Amino acid sequence: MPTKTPRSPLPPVAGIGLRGPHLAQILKQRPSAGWLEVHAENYMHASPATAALEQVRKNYTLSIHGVGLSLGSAQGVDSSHLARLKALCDRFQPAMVSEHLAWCIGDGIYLNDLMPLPHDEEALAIVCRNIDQAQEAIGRRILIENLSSYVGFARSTMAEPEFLGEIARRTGCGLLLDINNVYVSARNLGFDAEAYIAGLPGESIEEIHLAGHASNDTTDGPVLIDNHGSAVAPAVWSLYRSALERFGTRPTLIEWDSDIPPLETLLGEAMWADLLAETVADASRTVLPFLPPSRSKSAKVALCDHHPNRTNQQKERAHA
Amino acid sequence: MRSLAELQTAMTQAIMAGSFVDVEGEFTAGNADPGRRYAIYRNNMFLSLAAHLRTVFPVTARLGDERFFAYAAHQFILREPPRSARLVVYGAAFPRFLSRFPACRHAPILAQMAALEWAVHSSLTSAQRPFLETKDMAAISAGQGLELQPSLHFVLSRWPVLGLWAHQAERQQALPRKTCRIAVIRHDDDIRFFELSTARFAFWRDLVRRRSLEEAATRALARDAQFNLADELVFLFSNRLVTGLIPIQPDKGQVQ
Repeated sequence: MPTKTPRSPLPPVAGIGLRGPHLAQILKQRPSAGWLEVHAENYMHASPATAALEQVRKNYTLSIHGVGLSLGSAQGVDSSHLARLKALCDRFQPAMVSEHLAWCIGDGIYLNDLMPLPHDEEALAIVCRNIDQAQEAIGRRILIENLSSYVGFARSTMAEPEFLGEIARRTGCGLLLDINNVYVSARNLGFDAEAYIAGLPGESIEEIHLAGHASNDTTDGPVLIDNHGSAVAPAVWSLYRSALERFGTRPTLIEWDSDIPPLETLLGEAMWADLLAETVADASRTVLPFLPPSRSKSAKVALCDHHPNRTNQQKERAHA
Repeated sequence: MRSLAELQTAMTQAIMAGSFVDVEGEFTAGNADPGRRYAIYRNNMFLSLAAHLRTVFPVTARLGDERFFAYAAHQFILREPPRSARLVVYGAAFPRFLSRFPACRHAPILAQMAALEWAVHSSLTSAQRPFLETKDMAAISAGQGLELQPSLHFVLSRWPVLGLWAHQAERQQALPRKTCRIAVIRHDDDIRFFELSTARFAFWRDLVRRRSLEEAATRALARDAQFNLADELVFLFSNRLVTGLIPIQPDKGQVQ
């Protein structure tokens, strides 16, 4: 059964990540997108894009998604970066602000990647301290997103869902569930993606991310790379459906950051996300509660008929 | 066991050094080798920062050949990694790095093209303020200076880089040395270039350095006896470069 739906300031539909190549088209054509998310660090300085965002926000609900706050940094959060984030929020008044369960500055060097954290008491205390500081500084709750990981830590004493749940409980922040990241990490580190999602506190999840990934062959076997450079994989759609059935509809974002396709492709992915959410919601309201588990399973297969990549879906699920 | 701070320092040093022996015991990676898996983070960092530099310096990358640019970018990232998440300021030191990079000794124009491209990037990421009209010139009084658009950036090059940049040269051509003084300014979504005479270059740069009009004009006249202050003011105002009239303290005029 879906968990109690939190009151998200974002509309409960699919939005898209706003990327530079689409800015002019969005301004000119005003396509129907549920909402738009921008990367905070791209708008912390004056530029034509920052000026254009003033126009964009008149027509769309905005979410600001940070990648550089380094909330997992033991050295603490860069106060000047935090001040820039606050100024950005004050200027654009986004409906939502989110960041990652990650660190990206170590030894004074910005690594330009989202680095993983061990899941132990020391890291938990540090992350909570930094989130408290960030929420206090910008004067609003934030959402924390799970990472895609290529390594885990031998010292970890708790699973990531438990770690995230504890962060939400201690700081009052919400969670942003990136389902592609769950899938990528599960494949890379060998855990059960469904069990991961089941372990999350559904009432804290206020947003979902969907994106594509790449698969690289290595001497250790295939490794999935979270490159946001392709359509959402069938197996990730399947996990998304599973999350919808468990948690109910959530504002969902289609992210695409490399090899950026035409805007219509992103909007098409967002449409699939909306269709899937509506179908799952309808099913939970009408048919599914009365079906035995075996019938319920066949209903899932029927849903897949709506997706253009259905032929690959079973294959991908076999790997999940 | 290391503290988290020590672990993050060790993980950062491993990425910069490309050696994971010191940290791989910290990791798990299913059935994969933890060190090789951790190397993905190093790869991500270097590839993404090199891509950033290629975006900021596209003509420099083409002039010097893409493979050479990748090598130079890698060396630059190793020696001068970013210090903050504000990547928009990362690359400011790249032109100077290229000017001292032994592998660029045969092609000094690369560093100067990079300087021009950094000026373009800096202009595009600068604020654009409301400008004063030509009629506002009447309000100028003695001891004042002019505040110019913050997106105004200067490049002094010993090579005709502006022509090369404009033609987005695919390969280096045999070019005669020719000193050029360039001003770059953002105009909405576009960039405007001015090739400046010696006197005008000195005049504009002195104004940006907050020297008074009198002092800036005196220094310009020292370079060109034909320098005409009234004409220069009309030029600045009519090109929307002036954003304010500011009082200049004589002592402060020498600061920069």
